[in-house]
Amino acid sequence: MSLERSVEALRYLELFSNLDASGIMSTTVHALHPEDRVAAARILMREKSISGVPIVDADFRLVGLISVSKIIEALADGRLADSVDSVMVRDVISLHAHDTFETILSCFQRFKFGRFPVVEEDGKLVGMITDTDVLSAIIRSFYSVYVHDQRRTMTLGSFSALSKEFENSADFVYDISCIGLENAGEGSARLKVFLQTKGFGESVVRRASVCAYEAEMNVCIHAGGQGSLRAIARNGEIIVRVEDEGPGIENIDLAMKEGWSTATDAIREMGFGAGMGLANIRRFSDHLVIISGKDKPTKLEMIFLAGKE
Amino acid sequence: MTVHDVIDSVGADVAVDGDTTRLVTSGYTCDLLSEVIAKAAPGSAWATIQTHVNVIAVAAMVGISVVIVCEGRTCESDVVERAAKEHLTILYSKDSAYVVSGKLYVLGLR
Amino acid sequence: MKLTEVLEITGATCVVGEQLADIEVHHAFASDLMSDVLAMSRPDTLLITGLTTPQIIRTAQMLDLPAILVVRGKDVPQYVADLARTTGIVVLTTHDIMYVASGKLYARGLSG
Ligand SMILES: Nc1ncnc2c1ncn2[C@@H]1O[C@H](COP(=O)(O)OP(=O)(O)OP(=O)(O)O)[C@@H](O)[C@H]1O
Ligand SMILES: [Mg+2]
Repeated sequence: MSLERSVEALRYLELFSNLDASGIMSTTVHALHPEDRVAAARILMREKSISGVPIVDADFRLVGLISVSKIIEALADGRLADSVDSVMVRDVISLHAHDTFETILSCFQRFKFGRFPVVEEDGKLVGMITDTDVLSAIIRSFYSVYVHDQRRTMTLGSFSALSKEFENSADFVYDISCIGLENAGEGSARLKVFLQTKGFGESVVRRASVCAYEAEMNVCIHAGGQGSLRAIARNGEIIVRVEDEGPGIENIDLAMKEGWSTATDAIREMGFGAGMGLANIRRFSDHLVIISGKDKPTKLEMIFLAGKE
Repeated sequence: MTVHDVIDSVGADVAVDGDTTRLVTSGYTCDLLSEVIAKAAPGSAWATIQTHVNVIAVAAMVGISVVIVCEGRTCESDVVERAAKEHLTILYSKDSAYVVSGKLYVLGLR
Repeated sequence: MKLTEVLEITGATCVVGEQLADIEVHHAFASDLMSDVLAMSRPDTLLITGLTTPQIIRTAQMLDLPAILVVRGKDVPQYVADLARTTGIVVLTTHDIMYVASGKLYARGLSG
């Protein structure tokens, strides 16, 4: 890997800095006690198609691990009726619930095992992490922030990550048309009232309104003030779509960076242009899709889950 | 009080170590550069969340003694370099501008 | 802290919402940049700002903030006051600068 590539890889690691072991691990764990038979471990592995079984004491503290290779050895020696205690590995490499994504990755790289038990401070087993768990955590977090600008178009073509629902209709529609900043924010104010009447809880309404407002202000400040604000609000889910007619964002990664802004001094004197709007949107939304590019319209779609409070 | 006393009392990190013996005679909290130019007194401790390079130009112009960048924000390297050139002390505080102002005010900086 | 106390401590006057002066706030936040305010998500906060644009009202509305203290004795334009009235947000104005208003309130126990 060239130096440039690894620098880029490091930058992407930052994308996952919000993930820790407790967020990645699976919490449905099948464990055995030291006094159980090796045969029981073999059956468990086959039935649950897992490649290793953690061994815990009566208080659920991790005391060992038995892997497929240990089972094979025991089979060869005819020791299936022996206790797990006699064949398990005792010095298990385990992760802590608060270990960072980076620590987890380096653990996989260093030890070449397919799975690691996750323990809390007191040594109690709380979950397991396999390479599949890591992969699906990566995919999930890619979905939660998806940006699409010119560079993506080259690899993904016209793939669309936006919801199909808006093609037919929306529950809430507001045409943004703002000259100067005087009535900027009116659409979000109306959206807020609409969401309240729909019976959504205070905090999800607040998150959705704040993000809609940031997006609406961006249309007014950076995109000539013409656009639309639409929402679909059903089944405990609020989808907000804000679109404009350009000039678009050339490099979305850069635009998302807190503190980065192209606002003029005049805008800054009016209380905007801190470069925090998109960062706020990212923080307060549950899923975010931004599609834009130089001289393209900007489409921003945010999803808020009522149950995620 | 001096810039040095401010550093000690608000518990901030020193980002740029300028002239810490300078006197601090008043406090000013504001994120609007034009207002700072028009209204802040020379010798002020300026609390803001702005990290724009213009902050340094404004601070130098007004004669600000120390800039306190609040809420855990940090300046880009060009801003830091510019401040160092001006011998302007920049502090990073985790607190909000409200809390930084409160702490300085309670210490008697009016 | 009750808004009546905020009035008394900062020598402020009430521009909109006299009848609501017994509302309580538990925190204060001082800023002139709206996205900075929007990054905070605590509803029972007094917003202290030097701006008098309609956006200060919108920002407070989005965050469910009960009241705004405008500093430096700035006049609140009629249409901004009207917007505050229709959205149910109290607007106070003091001659103190942001630093002093913050300092006084903090000194009297209103936390950040
Ligand atoms: N709808 C848009 N059209 C074109 N450019 C945009 C749009 N939205 C954002 N941008 C670009 O992305 C940058 C960052 O946007 P962001 O909302 O994070 O900060 P800001 O609007 O500059 O400041 P703040 O939101 O703190 O007031 C903007 O300065 C602008 O260059
Ligand atoms: Mg913005």
